[in-house]
Amino acid sequence: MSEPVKKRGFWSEMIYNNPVFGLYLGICSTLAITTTLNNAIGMGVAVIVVLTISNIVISLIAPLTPDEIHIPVYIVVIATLVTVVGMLMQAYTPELYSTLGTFIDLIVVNCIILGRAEAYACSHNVAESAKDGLMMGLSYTFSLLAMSLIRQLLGTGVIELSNPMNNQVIFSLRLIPEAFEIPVFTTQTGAFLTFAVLSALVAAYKLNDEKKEKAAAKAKADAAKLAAANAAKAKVKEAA
Amino acid sequence: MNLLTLFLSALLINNVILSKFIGMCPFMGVSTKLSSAVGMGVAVIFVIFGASVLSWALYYYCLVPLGLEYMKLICFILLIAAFVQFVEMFIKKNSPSLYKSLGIYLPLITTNCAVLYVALDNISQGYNFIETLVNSIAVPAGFMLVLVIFATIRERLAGSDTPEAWKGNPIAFVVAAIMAIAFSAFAGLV
Amino acid sequence: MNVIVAILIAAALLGLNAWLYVANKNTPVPEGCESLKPDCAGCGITDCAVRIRQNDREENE
Repeated sequence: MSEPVKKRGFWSEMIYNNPVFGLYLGICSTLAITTTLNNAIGMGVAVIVVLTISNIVISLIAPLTPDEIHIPVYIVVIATLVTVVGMLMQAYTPELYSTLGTFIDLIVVNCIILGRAEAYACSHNVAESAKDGLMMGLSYTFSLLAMSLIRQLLGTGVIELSNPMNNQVIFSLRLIPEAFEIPVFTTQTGAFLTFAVLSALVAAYKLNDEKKEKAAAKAKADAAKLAAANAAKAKVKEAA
Repeated sequence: MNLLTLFLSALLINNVILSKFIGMCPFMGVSTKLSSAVGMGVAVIFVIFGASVLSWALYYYCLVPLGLEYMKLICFILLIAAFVQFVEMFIKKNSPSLYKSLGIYLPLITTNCAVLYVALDNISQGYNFIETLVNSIAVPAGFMLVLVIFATIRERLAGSDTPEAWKGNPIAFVVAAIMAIAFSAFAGLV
Repeated sequence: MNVIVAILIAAALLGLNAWLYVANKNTPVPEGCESLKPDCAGCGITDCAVRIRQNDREENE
């Protein structure tokens, strides 16, 4: 990121540099697969794995890659990883794989992954790149979880988690009675609306933060001015 | 399958953007102005059509006979990247006026998920050659249709008084939500 | 055997990419299109390749 580096807490960083609601990357899969918590976790884990490994591999091979083919080489690395992850999911979690469908394959063109490879991994060392991939993947997963929690809760009234290996329900809790469900949240419209509200919240957080920063800067400047004025006054007194 | 049904369903009912959520990045990115929306739409139609027909041929004439179906993701994405480069070069050489209107959108298309989606969709649905042709033109046409409608709405939206936090993309998503309701009415068409 | 063919196909496609990239880069931009600028204002995607390239160009100038 080209923004000036500023120390922020973990959660603040997650909100501020959120790839989905803050930078609008990887929106397609976020909107499409967040109908249930299970989907969100499955997709999130797949993206974390691909993003971390691709960042590591790319930071290793970047110095060796001629400039002409660096994008196709990165694409091959990412596509290979996605193929492997897809095959593993097909073997161990077939149900989940079939619901996520083409979106697993489309991780290849997920802007977050190629974007991180181009913007970060190719110019940083292995450890830093791995950490960056993990952080980005985690904040992507948190965004997916937030979206799917809202949509599943409002749309079906139930929060449910099941084991993707054998489809046994681990945890199921009805919070909203059946008569008050809002099924529109499970449809496309609900996806867009939920996304709009969450991204507006992130924007509001940023605006508030900037305002606070400005106020702090102004207070600092005022204090400095006051101190300077006092010093000048003291000097005048001394001279007298 | 009836070709007209296939065309209409890919164009309107299963619209890539509003029903499958594919190609959202350029959808949000270039939809602030009508002229750029048209440019992007034409470029996308061109690239998707060419790239997915080529991918179809590569899959059935090269990968299947060799038993290398698992290579499809890698091959398709490389083919798309190469095709985009080729189209850009071709337009530069032969049609400066076309380059003027499409040139800046072409490099963007390599990572447009809609291209890879159509190529993969043609295979996973088991379409034959004619169906592939129809599908590969209908899907990007649906993309352009929504993009252009959306851009006209956003041009009007730019002048309206939106709350600070909702400015830009958040309010655009609300518009998209309303458009999705409108498009869901097409479900009864076929 | 199959693996070798697979690697060959991938290598061929990579080569095609590199060749087209170089050929594309060496093709001169037609007259009047040297300073085409995408319209980035209003778009929230800050990591977009087009925007990064444009920012670089502006910094160079």
